[in-house]
Amino acid sequence: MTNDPDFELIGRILAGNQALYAELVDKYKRYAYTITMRILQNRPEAEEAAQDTFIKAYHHLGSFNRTAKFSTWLYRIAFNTAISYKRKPRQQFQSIESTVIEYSHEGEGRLEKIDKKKYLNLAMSKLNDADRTALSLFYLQEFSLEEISAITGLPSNTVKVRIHRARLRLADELKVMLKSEALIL
Amino acid sequence: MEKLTQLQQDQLLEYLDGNLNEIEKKKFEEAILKNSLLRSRLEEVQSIHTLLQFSKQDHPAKNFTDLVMANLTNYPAAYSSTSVRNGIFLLLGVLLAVGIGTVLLTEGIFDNTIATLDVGNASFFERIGQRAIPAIAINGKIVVNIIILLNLGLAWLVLDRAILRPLFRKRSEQMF
Repeated sequence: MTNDPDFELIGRILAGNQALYAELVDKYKRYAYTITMRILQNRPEAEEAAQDTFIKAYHHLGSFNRTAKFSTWLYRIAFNTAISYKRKPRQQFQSIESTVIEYSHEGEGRLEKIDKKKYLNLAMSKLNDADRTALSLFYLQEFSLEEISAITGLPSNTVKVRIHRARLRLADELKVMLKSEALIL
Repeated sequence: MEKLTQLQQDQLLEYLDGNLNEIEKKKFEEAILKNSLLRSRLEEVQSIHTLLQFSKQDHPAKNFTDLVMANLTNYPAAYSSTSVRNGIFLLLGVLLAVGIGTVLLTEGIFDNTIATLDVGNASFFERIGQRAIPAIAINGKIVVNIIILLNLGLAWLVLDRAILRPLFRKRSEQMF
């Protein structure tokens, strides 16, 4: 059994103190939202999927058997929820606010930063959901390969290979994009 | 044109991630100096690596926690475990109806059940100068066959929507 500091809090929530669940939501909402956002690439949908994740997790808290960290279990639900949202028939629209990744690279020119971000987002959108999520989680530097493997449901060796391949593919995509952009200019 | 091997590309990524030991690192750096293709690939992948390293978490709306807490009790009934049980009961009911219908058909109960549907009132049509609609003969066996087929379709839908989908969704959520 994993020694997770959240287990005590979960015990108190299960004992009937529903209000304490807000602490867990506050603690994990950013990562849960980041996962749904990376998969759905649409702010309103990602927000809804992330909320749905926490509601589902609350209702299944009793069945969480504590062999893994609560966060890993929660992010796995976030991943599955976002995937099921993506499979739902929906209107294809890209929110004007939708951005896949935000950067803060001090010292870079603003225009250059926006361009790089734009092209990286475009290249990222060409990856499949599991690769995009694995790559994003890997670079958020909070997750081990084993945790990413538990979240995406892929073996950790496969996750490692996918992260490698995804980066190489991103580099290729970016090269093609920048080459075609140079031709237009 | 010479191409990089997958091994070289993987080693390049291990180098960027800092996973090579001192000897491997030195060897790889020497290879970079000798191989211009490897050097330019390293630059390409390094730019992606740098961009991704500065990626941040996304931020949900400020009232996110309040919205979750307000909706905690509004859990959709479709997700509850009782919906699977109800689906099973519904499926059993539909299959029972199909079974009864099939037994009655094989017993020949409907073999001679022919009803005549006379929708046209002859005197009425004569009065308005139109030809009367002929009476329609309905064979009970065909009607029961159609009902059984519709029930089989319904059973398939119930199995998919009310049993299998909620079951797989529940399993994926309860993986741990």
